Amino acid sequence: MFIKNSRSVITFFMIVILCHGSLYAQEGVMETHVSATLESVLILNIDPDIEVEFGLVEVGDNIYQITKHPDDVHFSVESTGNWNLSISATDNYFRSLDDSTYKVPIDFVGYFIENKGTNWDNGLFSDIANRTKDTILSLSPVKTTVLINGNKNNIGSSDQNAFVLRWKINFDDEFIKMDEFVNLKIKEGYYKANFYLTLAETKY
Amino acid sequence: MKKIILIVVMLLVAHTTSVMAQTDTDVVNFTAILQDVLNLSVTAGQSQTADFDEPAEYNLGIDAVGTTTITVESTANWDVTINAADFSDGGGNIIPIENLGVWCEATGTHLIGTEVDCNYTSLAAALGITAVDQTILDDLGGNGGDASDNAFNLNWTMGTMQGSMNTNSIFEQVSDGTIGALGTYTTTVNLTLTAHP
Repeated sequence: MFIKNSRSVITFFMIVILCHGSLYAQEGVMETHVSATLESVLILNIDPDIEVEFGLVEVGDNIYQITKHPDDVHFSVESTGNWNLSISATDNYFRSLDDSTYKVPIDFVGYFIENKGTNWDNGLFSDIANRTKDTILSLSPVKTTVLINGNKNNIGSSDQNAFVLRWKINFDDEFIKMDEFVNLKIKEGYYKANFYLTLAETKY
Repeated sequence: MKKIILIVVMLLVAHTTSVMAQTDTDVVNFTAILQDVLNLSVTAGQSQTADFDEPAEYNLGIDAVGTTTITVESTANWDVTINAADFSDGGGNIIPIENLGVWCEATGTHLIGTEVDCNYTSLAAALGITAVDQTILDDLGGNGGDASDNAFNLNWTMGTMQGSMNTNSIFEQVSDGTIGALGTYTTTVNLTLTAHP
């Protein structure tokens, strides 16, 4: 500001610059940093109380009828890696519910696994190699690997990896085994056994 | 002598009168320059983390990863665009960026649907982030204003397959090899504020 004598025109320029915002005008971009961590998941979904139980009655001399067939077992796998599944019985025998001294060899019952998921179980060149796809395996205390990953991998959710474990009485329709069945001299009644399903991640 | 004194007195009076009758004009000129103000601030939630450790998260995603709060100060109407590159683990594996979604809430006096336009106002309508800029906030009825006017929540979601997000679950993408490995992936989301002419 300056002032001249009384005849002069005093000019006072006051410039108010509201320019603090202009400093930011060049910085129209802000950043947000996002990280995502994918952790390993390996889960077997199954009813933990499931058992293999069957019943039979003697309808004639050494002639038996199955009165209760073992229930199907529905299960699924959720895994972020390739996996395999094994089955093993906890004992060598089925034992009578009425008298545990009555027993039936564990291989009296066989099983196969039906694929209900979208992962394809058509051998090693598919998602899953299913050893029971075309055959019935006998239940055994020895851990038996029944499902393994194929070349296309079996990673996935329970929609992709859904199965039904179905049981079959091994002596139902095989004439030779029927002889063995007769020789077992089984007492009629209900028998049960427990089994393990073991899920493991594979490294390939 | 009396005449001389009288003349002097009259001259003095006349001079005094003429002095008092004069005016002097001084001018003070003000110039106020209002320059453009354009300021985008991230006020909270600048870092977000999504941890996938349960099957449900791999199957259905994580609805609420977190919230980033932003404010806009602008003398003009404005829009905000958003983009990001794919997530990377630094080892050549990626998570497609469309698995990351965002939706908006207005927390200032400017409302979505009145002053501000946003098509992504719920989880179900989440915007899937892409590498190309997409407008997430825009002018509707004049959105220039200060930070109290233009305050917003950006709500992040991941793997939920909502709105325009990736339609495959994270599980499916791990299974089909789109996501090549487990581990930690990162990306940087860019928010760009632009003033309208």
